[in-house]
Amino acid sequence: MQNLWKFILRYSNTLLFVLIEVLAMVWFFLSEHKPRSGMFGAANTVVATLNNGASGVSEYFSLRSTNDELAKENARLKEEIDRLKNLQEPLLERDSIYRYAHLGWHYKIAKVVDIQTNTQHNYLVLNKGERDSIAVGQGVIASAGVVGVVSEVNSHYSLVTPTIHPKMHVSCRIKKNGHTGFLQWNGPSTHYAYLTDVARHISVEQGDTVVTSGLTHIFPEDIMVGVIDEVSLGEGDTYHTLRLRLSTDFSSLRYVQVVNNPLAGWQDSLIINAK
Amino acid sequence: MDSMNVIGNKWLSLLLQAVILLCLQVFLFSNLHFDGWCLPFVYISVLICMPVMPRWAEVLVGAVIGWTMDICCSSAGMHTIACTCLSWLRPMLLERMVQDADRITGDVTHRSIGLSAFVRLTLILCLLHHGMVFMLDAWSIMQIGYTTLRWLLSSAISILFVYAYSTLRAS
Repeated sequence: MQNLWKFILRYSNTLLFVLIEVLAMVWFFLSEHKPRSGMFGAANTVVATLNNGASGVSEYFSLRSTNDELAKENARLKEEIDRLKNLQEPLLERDSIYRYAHLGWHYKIAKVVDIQTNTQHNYLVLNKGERDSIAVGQGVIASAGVVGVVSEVNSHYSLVTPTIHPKMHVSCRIKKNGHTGFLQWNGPSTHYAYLTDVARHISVEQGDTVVTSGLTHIFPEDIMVGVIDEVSLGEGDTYHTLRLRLSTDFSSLRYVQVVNNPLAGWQDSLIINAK
Repeated sequence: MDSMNVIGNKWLSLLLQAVILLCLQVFLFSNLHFDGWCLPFVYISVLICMPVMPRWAEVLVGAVIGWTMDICCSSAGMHTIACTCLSWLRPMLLERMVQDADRITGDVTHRSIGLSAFVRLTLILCLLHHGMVFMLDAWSIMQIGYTTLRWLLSSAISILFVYAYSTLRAS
């Protein structure tokens, strides 16, 4: 026993060091990077609250540009409503199936209270959570385009894995020819990502618009993803290497919309039956 | 009583420095993007320049500062691992590099331990700390080139900052 005490006293500094390192490593490995959920509950709320206050001040100064943006968005949406109304009326008369047309996508506005875009595992925190019926798997978009997918929620906040995360693969479509592919980001720049799985026989040009495919029920169809910025195709390549300039500017992201489709469950149940 | 005051002042000054540097890190440097190429961790200046203390105290200061950083950045232990390691190694390096290390009483700066020793100390500790953080952050060898470049660029900026900070402390 005495020897044990002697040992502990002699190596107390080393033991303290080892103890702290082991604890920190346990913390690190338990959280396993993905969404750093270990701290999400307690800590992100702390930083989120701080950022909320800080962004209140900076928001005041950017009110003018935010207003402009909203006004533009309003105008665009009004046009869209008019266009859709015109399309919808004759259809409603023709077929009862379109009675369900109003059961489309639901949009919830949320504010970005914390954002990390300079690591290889980026994330966003929104100021809405379970209480506002946000759930894991719902898509997040902003006025400029796709932002990401909700990966975790607590009662007041939600964690979003953005498109600029190596594990995020959004199903996309090249607007002009309808061919689909997946969005892939490997860093470092938050402005660029790649579109994969576009076969070599498909004609693609610089400047082509890429939108969401609507093949999954995370995002509605035709939400802007980005514009093709660089096309390259080696001799033996089966697929194009397409660099995309993302339409969403993550550095100035303030307000986003969380989208969900109440009909998604119906779609899923069909697939399950088919299997 | 006087010695108590001196010790109290030393801790208060360390606390103040840590708070200022952590705020600078979390609100300024962590938000500078450089398009993803560089993320300097300047807050380690306080760990590199802190006064010589009993070893257990240095390890604890490192752990607490790392932990605070982890809480602020939701980085789950990465900074605690790196900072504890840094503050554990600093006394060993000081002993090796400075001939009569016991003589140093105040802050460790380029004045108190000599420029060449200070540069070597900063170089080793910065590269080690940043290397650990970036490796833990990437946690794969898939993007080793990118991680290495990020590590070297960020370390370079941090080293310059530590030197500037040491000049400020020494004056």
